[in-house]
Amino acid sequence: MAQENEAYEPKIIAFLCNWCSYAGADLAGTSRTQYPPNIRVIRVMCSARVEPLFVLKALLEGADGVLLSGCHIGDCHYLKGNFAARRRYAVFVELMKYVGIDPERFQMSWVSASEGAKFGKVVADFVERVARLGPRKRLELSESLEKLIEGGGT
Amino acid sequence: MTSTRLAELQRAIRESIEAGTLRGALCWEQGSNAFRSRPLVIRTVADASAAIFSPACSPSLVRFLIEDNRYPMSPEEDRRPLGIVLRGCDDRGVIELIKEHQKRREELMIFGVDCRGTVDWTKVRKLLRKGMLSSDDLDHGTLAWKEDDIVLFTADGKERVLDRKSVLLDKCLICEGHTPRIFDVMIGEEDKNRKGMPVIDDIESLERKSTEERWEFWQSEFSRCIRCYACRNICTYCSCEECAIDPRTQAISDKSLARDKANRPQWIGQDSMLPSNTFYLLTRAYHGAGRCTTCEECDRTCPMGLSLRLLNRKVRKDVKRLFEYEAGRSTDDGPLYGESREEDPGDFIW
Repeated sequence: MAQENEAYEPKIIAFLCNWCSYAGADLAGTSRTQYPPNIRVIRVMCSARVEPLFVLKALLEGADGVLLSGCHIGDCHYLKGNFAARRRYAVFVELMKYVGIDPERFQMSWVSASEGAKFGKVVADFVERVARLGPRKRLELSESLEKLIEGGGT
Repeated sequence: MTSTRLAELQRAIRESIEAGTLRGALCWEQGSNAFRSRPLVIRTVADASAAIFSPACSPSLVRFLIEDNRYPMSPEEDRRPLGIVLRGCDDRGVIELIKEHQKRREELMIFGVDCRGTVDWTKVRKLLRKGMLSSDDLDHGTLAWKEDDIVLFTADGKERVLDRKSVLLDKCLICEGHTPRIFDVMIGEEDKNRKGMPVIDDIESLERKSTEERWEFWQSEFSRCIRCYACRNICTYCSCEECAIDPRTQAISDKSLARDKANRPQWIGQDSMLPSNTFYLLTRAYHGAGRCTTCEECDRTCPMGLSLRLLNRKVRKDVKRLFEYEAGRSTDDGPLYGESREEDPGDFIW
């Protein structure tokens, strides 16, 4: 069991905004900042493009954690995009907590195009946190299938 | 008291229809028994006599305004206003529809009524099972209000006062006002002591529980969902024709172009397993942020008896706490995500 835990590598989906965080991740790469390779990057045009629907879908389809990163407040390429994202997720994170599906598996951050080092740190910290939580269970389709089979159908 | 009110309501509707100022009016008619009612569209003078207004009128009529946009209740060239009977709790829904440009105020003629609470069919069924009501009461009785009391006139001519707590909808027990804030015609007295928004405190005990306990609770709720979409179909904020969380409403099939398939991902399958149900119910609750008026119609219509109001009340409470925003407060408010402030909370962001 202990060995399994050691081998466990969380899968993390990272939604990065095209104008800041994606460029920040690029800078982290070119400046050879070391960070864990557990993230799968999806580039979006704005952090406000990422509906909570995306986050839930990622968790449902097998991601262990979801990272959403955009421009700092006031730096949005579309002026107000990250304001909207911040409002949305303030509500959504509370809802996740209330229902009890680990809000720890979701993280939001502001990373500008010049913050390659910050990007590396955000990813490292988040990967460490998700690794501590272990594989996500609560939205696992196979688990509920198993339960259904055990229970002989409902 | 109520029979004269009903006559007054019927007369008001009849007069407007006769004068040709309305293309129709939404009201209730008697349902399958004394405790049930169904929506009624009044188009002619004769229809008006079928209208009722009693404690049996628990469905909200607001949703039918959205239905009217999709499947107009009269020929489309008929631009006359549509009449609707509104109780004290329904006005928030109409205000939201006006805010979201689903209806304009001048397209509506609102008959305000004084409602003192409507029955919860689930509670009535419980009373039936316990023998505290008989099927005779259901078939031949009549319900009416006497001030704040719910009175059942039984078949043998007796009057029986029913306990408010054991027959009324939970939302009626915390009623914030008997008459609506917006109306064109008021039937009876306007309620001058409106208390503002209803108090929401029954979620606090759930909030205090641990994450594990909360997940246990919601897991048992969500896994019972059969995904019949009744909650969405009755909802006053679910006005999208193409619903992101209902694949059946999406215009994508096997024969669709690859481009269309790629641009319109299917978010969720049609199964009613726990993960999909969680996805469905959470997304719906979240889509109600700043839009859900907690009319609790979803809770009332849910055939599996899920406590959907606990989700909606939570979102409503958070939106109020975080952004001092309430759905259905005033038509002057902007949309929740349309306005934002520098000092919005952001301490959950790294």
